[in-house]
Amino acid sequence: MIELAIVIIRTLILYVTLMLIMRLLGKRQMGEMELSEFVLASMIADLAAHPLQDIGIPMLNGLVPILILFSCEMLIAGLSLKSIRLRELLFGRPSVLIRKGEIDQKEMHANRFTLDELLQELRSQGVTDLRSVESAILETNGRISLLQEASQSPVTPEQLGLSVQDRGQPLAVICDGRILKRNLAQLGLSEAWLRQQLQSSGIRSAGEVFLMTVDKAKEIYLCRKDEPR
Amino acid sequence: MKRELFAAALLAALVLGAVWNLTKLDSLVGAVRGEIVVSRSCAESGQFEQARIALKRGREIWTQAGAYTEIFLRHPELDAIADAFCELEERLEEETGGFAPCYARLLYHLDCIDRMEHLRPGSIL
Repeated sequence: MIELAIVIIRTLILYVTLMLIMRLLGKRQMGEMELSEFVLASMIADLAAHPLQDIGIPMLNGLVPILILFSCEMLIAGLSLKSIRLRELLFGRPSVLIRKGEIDQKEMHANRFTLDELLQELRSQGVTDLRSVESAILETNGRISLLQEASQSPVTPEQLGLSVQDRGQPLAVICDGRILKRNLAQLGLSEAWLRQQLQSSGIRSAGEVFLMTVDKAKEIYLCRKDEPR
Repeated sequence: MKRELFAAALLAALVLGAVWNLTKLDSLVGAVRGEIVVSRSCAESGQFEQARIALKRGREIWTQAGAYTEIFLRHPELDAIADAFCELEERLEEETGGFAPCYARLLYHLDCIDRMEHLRPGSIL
């Protein structure tokens, strides 16, 4: 029973610590990880697991290495922001795999990137004709950035001489019945305006709304909450 | 910049903590070992009462540092030391000799902890 309590307390402490550390390491950890960040995340996960699996191991044996890795990562991330050379040394540099439709085989070999992987990546980005690729760059996080030839690029309103209204990014002003005052203020709108809009749609209160978004042009998207079953 | 400073301060604190841990463990193991050595020489000269008193002092020093040892040392090693203390106490109560291997075992476990916690190629690699 006591052993179980120890495991529970240890788990909670490590969970809070890891959440804090991952939060401090930044949002990039969640999605686009560099190689070093991936290694760091794997090591942290493994280090945290040991004191949880064996209560004979002091928790500090897991926490201290995690804190050291965190400190080193923070320092390296800070220094690499200031030094391009260090950044290249630690994270590598982007590699151009396709230049004007020509595959650079040396770069492919240097990056251990197979033709299948390249073709798969091109297909996933909607490109089937290699000749239409102006450049394909293998980024340091392993993703491929594609630039198609100008003749293959989508036409923009500017190229057509059309003027379009900038409606900006729609912001949620009501989310699951709650009014998001910060977003409302960001759009320069008041709660009185919001209530008026709701009334004009036949809605008595924000509690009846599942999602409501407004853009810069005050265009509204409204989704009512489903009736409770 | 604040985050980097925080990370550097944390790293420095961890290094200082490691140095403190080494000195703390050194003094703790040294004090316990000293009492055990006194106890052993008393037992070897047949002064079992003195040997028991010295051993008790050593055990008290060790148990009083429980808050420290339980946080910083592996629990199987702590159990091994506790077992070795008990075994030796029983032998000294009997006053029939045959205590030498028990002293050796207790000192060996203390030396193991001391060796493991010190910066040596063997302990690092």
